[in-house]
Amino acid sequence: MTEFLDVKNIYKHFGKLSALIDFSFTVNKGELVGLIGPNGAGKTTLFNVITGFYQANSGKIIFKGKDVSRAEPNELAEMGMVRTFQIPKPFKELTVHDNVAIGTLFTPHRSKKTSLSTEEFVRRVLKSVRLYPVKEQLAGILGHGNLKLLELGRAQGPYPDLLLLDEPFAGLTIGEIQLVSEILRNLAEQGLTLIIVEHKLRELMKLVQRVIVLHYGKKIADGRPEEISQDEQVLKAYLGRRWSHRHA
Amino acid sequence: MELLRKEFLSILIVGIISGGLAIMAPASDYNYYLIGLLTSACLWVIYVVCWDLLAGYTGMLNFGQLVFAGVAAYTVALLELHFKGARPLMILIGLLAGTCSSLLIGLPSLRVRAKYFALVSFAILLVFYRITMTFISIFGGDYGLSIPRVFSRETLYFTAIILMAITLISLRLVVKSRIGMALQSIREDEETARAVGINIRRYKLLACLISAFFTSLGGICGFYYMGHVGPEIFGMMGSFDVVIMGVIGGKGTIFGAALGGGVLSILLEFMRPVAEYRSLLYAILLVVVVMVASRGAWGSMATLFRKHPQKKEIEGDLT
Repeated sequence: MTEFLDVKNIYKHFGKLSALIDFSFTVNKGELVGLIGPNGAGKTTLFNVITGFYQANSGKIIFKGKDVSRAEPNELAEMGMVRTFQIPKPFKELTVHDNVAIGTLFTPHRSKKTSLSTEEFVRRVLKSVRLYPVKEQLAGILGHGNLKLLELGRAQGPYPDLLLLDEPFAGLTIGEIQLVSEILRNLAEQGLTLIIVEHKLRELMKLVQRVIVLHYGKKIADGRPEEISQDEQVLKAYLGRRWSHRHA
Repeated sequence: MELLRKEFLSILIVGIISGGLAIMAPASDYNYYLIGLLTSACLWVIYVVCWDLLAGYTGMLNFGQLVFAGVAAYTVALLELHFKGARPLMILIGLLAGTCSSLLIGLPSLRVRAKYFALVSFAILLVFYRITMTFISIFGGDYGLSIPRVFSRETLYFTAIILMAITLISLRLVVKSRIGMALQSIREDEETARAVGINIRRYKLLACLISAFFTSLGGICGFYYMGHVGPEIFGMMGSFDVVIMGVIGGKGTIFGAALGGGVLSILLEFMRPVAEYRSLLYAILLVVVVMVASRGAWGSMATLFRKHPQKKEIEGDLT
């Protein structure tokens, strides 16, 4: 069986800075994968490369058995790969409803995934992210918490199979994080594959089945959450050399 | 079609206004001053709503809207002067040239960010002005190109009304369709638009082509009405007037832009006695509108009549 997403030997430079160095990983269908690493490790760059916003200098990305290394973000969305942004980027002058509905309009062939009509589908998404009561409001007036939820809602518009979530917990309260975790778990139960970049490790470890650790553009660990939290290299990357010597 | 049913009211209003305008001709006993004024008003409406499709919906602030009209008009003028072909063919070629001229701003728009796009569009306007002034043997320099009258004023008046109605209804249907959603999403955030599956290159070019197509129709109609086209069509005044009318009328609604174009072009005519202060008054009006009612006349009215005020902060109560 071929992997759902297969990222092979990705290199990405910005001038002399190497953001990603020989980075490879695979994700199986239905997996819930966490992607962590200290600030500047290259997590968001990796997202940008996978989703077509950046072109890798070398390496290959295979999605559903197709080489998508040179694909545009919109082509990937049509194939079912959708991302969210760390800092919410809503369509401010459109209503909350339209922010979600817009994705369904440009990937109509993907609506086969569900038996619901477009309108019902959008309503279900809005209810799942708790924004149904404000669906007629303009997205621009939502507060940060609601905007993070809207990112999740909007990303579901194109009937995705694979969601790449860039820090879905950033700036949220404990209660909101629990809500978002629950939404993500539900999405995974519906059969979606999720890759999550996060800094809030405690909450992330509870959610995901596998964790990949990035450090200075390299993969330093890949395994189950409980293995990762014991990994010496990971501790070193996060907490510095001295700490890991004293305690490991 | 569902869209047609939803926009039925708009279509009805456009129809009534167009009918009313058409009756003005016989009602005024074919007063050529009035007909001229209203013809030009109809053409301004076309230009401004086409500008609104780019600036109001797609976020492409175009400072050279009349480039499309100018290219179409000059093309038809050259064909009229040098070739004795079938007139519909000439008009068709002019229309094609005007529409394709939008690629001059469309293609750069794929590469530059919004504010630089405004500069590019302005530069292209200046380039065309220079071209018409430099190649005098072809474009007639300051004098432009003139032809004897081929269509009666009445014919062109009715044509202008029909073109205006077609433009208004077509653009209204475009912005209410899937295309309109794509254009607005591009205006709001290009990256997010791409992330939800929108091919932003295709839709930006489409917006340019649609806008230029109807602007060219207006330009050709205006050329036959005046029997003349000159470099002033590529001048700053004309295209900037389009921007000012659009902003004052209200961006992003089509009808706001139509209102701005129609009312202000007639107002402009009545400002003739104070011609020297025209630009000044215009500029003051623009500043006032931008400061007091940034959504333009139409936007302010819409806010006044809206049942549920939108300005209400929503926070918390997530869990």
